[in-house]
Amino acid sequence: MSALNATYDFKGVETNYKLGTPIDFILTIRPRENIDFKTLTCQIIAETRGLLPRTNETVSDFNIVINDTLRNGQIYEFPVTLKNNHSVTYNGVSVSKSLVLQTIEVRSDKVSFLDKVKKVFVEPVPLISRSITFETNPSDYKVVESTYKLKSKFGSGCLKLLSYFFTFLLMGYLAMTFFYPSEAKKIWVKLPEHSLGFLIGAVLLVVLIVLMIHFILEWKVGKSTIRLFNTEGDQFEVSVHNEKDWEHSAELNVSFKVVEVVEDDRGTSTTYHRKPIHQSLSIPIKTPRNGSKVAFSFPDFSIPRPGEIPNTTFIPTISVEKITKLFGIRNYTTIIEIVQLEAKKMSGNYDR
Amino acid sequence: MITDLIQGNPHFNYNPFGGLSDKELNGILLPKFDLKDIANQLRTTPSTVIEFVGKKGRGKTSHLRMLSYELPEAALFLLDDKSTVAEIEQSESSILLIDSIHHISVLDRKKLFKLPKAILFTTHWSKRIELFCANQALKSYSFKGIDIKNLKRIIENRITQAIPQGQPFTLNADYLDRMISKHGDHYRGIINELYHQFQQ
Repeated sequence: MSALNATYDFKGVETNYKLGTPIDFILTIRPRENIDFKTLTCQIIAETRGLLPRTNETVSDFNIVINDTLRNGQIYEFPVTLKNNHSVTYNGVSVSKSLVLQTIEVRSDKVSFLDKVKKVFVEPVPLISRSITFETNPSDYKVVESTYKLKSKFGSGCLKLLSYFFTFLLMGYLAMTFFYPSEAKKIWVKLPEHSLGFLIGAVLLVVLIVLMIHFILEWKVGKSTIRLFNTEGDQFEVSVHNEKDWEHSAELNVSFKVVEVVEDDRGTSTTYHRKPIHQSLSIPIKTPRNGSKVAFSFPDFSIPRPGEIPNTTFIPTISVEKITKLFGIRNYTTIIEIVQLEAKKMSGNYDR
Repeated sequence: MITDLIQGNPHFNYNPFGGLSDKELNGILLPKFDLKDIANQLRTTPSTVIEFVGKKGRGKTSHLRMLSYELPEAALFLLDDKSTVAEIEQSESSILLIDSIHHISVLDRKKLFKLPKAILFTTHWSKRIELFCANQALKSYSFKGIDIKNLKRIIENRITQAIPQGQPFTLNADYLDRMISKHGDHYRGIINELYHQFQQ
């Protein structure tokens, strides 16, 4: 009398679906003995696995209320419609999301205490299950048309340089006084009077020189921005702008990438896994002028929407490498914003 | 290459080296300590304080999560940057299991240690001095070292869960040796590397 003593099939189920397309299919049941059925649930389950705790969530479900005895040898057919407007299949670097269509038996009759305990610890065994994929239509991607400031990596480079310099100085001082205190004393004694003042002065001078170089470069080169535009097809355009119309630029190399960031909080401390999942070729602009444009294609795979995968974000970034006439290579980056259009609301007589 | 580690070419339903749900964890973890004994200590000694101490990726949180199955009456707190001591203090449970106790301040921790409750927490650095200042005894379990036999069994358990029943496979012990040479006792570092190798 168990629902397991029957053969199940999904008739009309495809392997791939575009996000938002309803799944219309027929669940067929061929009992191998007379079975009393109450309710079956067809559901789409999204399973996330990767460098974060595994999670399962029901994306969509459809109840088939039977409340009848299905006879041995007969074939029974039940039409089902499921919809999925949000969850895409994703196979990333540090995380992946798969979708499964399955049917389970819902038992609403007398439930023993043991069954209640089992429900907490054991997932229901599906009567039938099949992997399906949901993909975004590539034309659903759009960039947010706006102006984005380009941040120079040179500033953070200067800070790094200074921090290395001070760390080295401090380590040297501590090592000398700790391991060779007498030698350290001799050095201090040999140094002329006020040498500590000279040392501090020298350090401040280095800081000032580095900062001055940074500000002179920024002033000379001028501030830079990019503007984003959506174009026909599965592409977007980037136009480059500079306060001084790229006066000192010999060439620009523009590239686009999407980085997957997974916040791995499985342990006592949190680790971030950052991996690029899409990287364009670097496109050169030989003689840049304000308004010079390059075009990029959107990724040809589905990127989950924000919040769709727990602890995971996707960061689209435009990088502009600027080869200057005066000062050599400099890098700029900015994080841009990409949105996906909401899937169109379905029409029809789907009623739940 | 992951095929250098796993011999026998089993068919995988998913990458076996990813994060696990609590349900899956129970079938995989090989406890380093007697969790039943620790559970009894927490049940029978009302103000006992126990710490799981060790570096990142050594299994402290996994043991804590598994212990919460042994102690269904205990309240489990997986703390993060936004956590406050108030949410722990409000708990009516007489046993508190706290992951990442460093997310609450020293003063709040001192308050916590004085509660008439059994507490078990995970930490990278021992809180022995803080417990001494709070006039509390501390029992410490150190998560250090790795046993190749245990690592092999854990990986076998992970693979067994991820493949259909009955598919044979073996693990290359030399490969595991190389992993231990590279990562030391950083168990999660080894599993994460295997995860990325499997993805390729």
